[in-house]
Amino acid sequence: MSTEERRIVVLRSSDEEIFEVDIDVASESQTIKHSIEDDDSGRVIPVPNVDGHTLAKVIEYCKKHVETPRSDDRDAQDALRAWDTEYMKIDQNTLFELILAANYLNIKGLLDLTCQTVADMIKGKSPEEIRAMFNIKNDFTPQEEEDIRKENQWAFE
Amino acid sequence: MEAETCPQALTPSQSNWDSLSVDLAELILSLLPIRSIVRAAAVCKLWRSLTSSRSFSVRVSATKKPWFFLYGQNNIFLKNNQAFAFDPEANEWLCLPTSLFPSSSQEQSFIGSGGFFITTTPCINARFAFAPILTHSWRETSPLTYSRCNPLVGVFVDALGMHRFIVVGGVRFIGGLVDIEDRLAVEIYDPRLDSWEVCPPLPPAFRTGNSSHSLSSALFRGNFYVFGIYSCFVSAFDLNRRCWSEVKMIRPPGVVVSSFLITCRDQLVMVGLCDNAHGGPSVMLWWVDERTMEFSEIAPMPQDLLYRLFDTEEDDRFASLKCVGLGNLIYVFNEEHHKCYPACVCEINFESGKCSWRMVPPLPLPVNSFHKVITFCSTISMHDILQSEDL
Repeated sequence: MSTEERRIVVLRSSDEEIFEVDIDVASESQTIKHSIEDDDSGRVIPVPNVDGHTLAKVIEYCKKHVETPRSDDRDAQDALRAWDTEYMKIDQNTLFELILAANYLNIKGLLDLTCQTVADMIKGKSPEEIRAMFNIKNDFTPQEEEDIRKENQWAFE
Repeated sequence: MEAETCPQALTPSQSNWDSLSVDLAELILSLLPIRSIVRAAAVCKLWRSLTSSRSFSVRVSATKKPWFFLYGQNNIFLKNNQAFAFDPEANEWLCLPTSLFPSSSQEQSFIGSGGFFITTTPCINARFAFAPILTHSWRETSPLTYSRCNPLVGVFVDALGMHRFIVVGGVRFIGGLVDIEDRLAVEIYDPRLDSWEVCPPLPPAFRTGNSSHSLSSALFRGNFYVFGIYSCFVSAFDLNRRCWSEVKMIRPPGVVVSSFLITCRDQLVMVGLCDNAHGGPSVMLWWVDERTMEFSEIAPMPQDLLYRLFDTEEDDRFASLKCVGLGNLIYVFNEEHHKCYPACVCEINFESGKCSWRMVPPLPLPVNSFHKVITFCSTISMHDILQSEDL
């Protein structure tokens, strides 16, 4: 039995779900880290902007990235990247919730990963395809659209 | 890899994008390659305003890699001129419509630098015209004091933040013959006065080859460096003091057929094409210290890649290899048509000092044959591309 004290932090999501998380894992979030530093009393830390489903997903990311030692080993880096790719196989709603959560919780790696995932969805697509993918309304008039295309013809061919 | 299922449980008027702050939306869009950004600007008015803001343009300029441009001129059939642009981030070529360029004439010199396309026409009016790259906004300046063919042109930002053009060298024809006596003055454009300031000409050492055919130039730390591709002479024009430095020679060991000076972020790099009798041809890169002009080796180009740029055993095979670069990218390409202008690109990692080379994808067909191929690297201003008076 280890005599080392493993410190646990308790997080509460916006929909009252409780998560007990290792302090190192929770500290991947700069927001939570500063919260702990300011108030070490061990009370529950509320995370009002993030629901339970999303918070669980965030914790999954933080856990994996804390557990994986930093290494220059090519294989280890590839393995982590492959994990990230699998991790990102989620529906669009969850993806955007993760972006907002990563932003609010200030987790740089997760924010970079989620934003890049959305950017990759947009890359190479036509405006019509992008609108369909994100359910965005086209508020240009046909004349405006034509002018836009003509202005930078090279981008639309 | 993609989370591409359609939005669930959303009414027709809702989009996941609605929940994002301007900052987050800008962040995501700034991760796109430039062509995708332009398409994104056509999605809806919000995306257009996000991508055409100055803050977005500044954010993007800091991260986007300069493009590599190839402009092919056919001196007989001007309609066969073609222009291409390579985005190293997207790793793809774009065909640029000819509507982007002013109607060309045989005497017109075309070049690009510092975010601008520039044409000079050495007819009686010594016309100089410029446009931000990829826009249709061509403007003509007042005539140059000395008309010239194929000058070197640089673009720098002065102390007040204004873009200034510097025109160096070039060749003047008198009665159909090249005028070798007159050393053409350097001219610097003042956009506020719409006038050209005349400055001391290129030092006499450059006399035998002072057009862009035999000179390579690099703008670096307040100096406009001019470097003889074959002569290896180098001199720096101080943009503040308006004077030339002492002419030096940079000739590294090995038989250097031609060499080029390139600004790579905050370092000067020299690229030399060497023809070693026993070792065969090679391309080498050196760091150059701008104060002492001393050079130190970085790395050679991989031999197998070099051989993919030409396939003849002719003695003058190197004559058609040229080199340009900017940022952390250096391009070596063959300006002969029969292989369709193949090119390699080297990406320098400044932390490790390591270079990684790869072939540039082939140009999109059809590619005409050209009498002259003009190449340059330049950054692009998102703000200028997405400017629109009407929308």
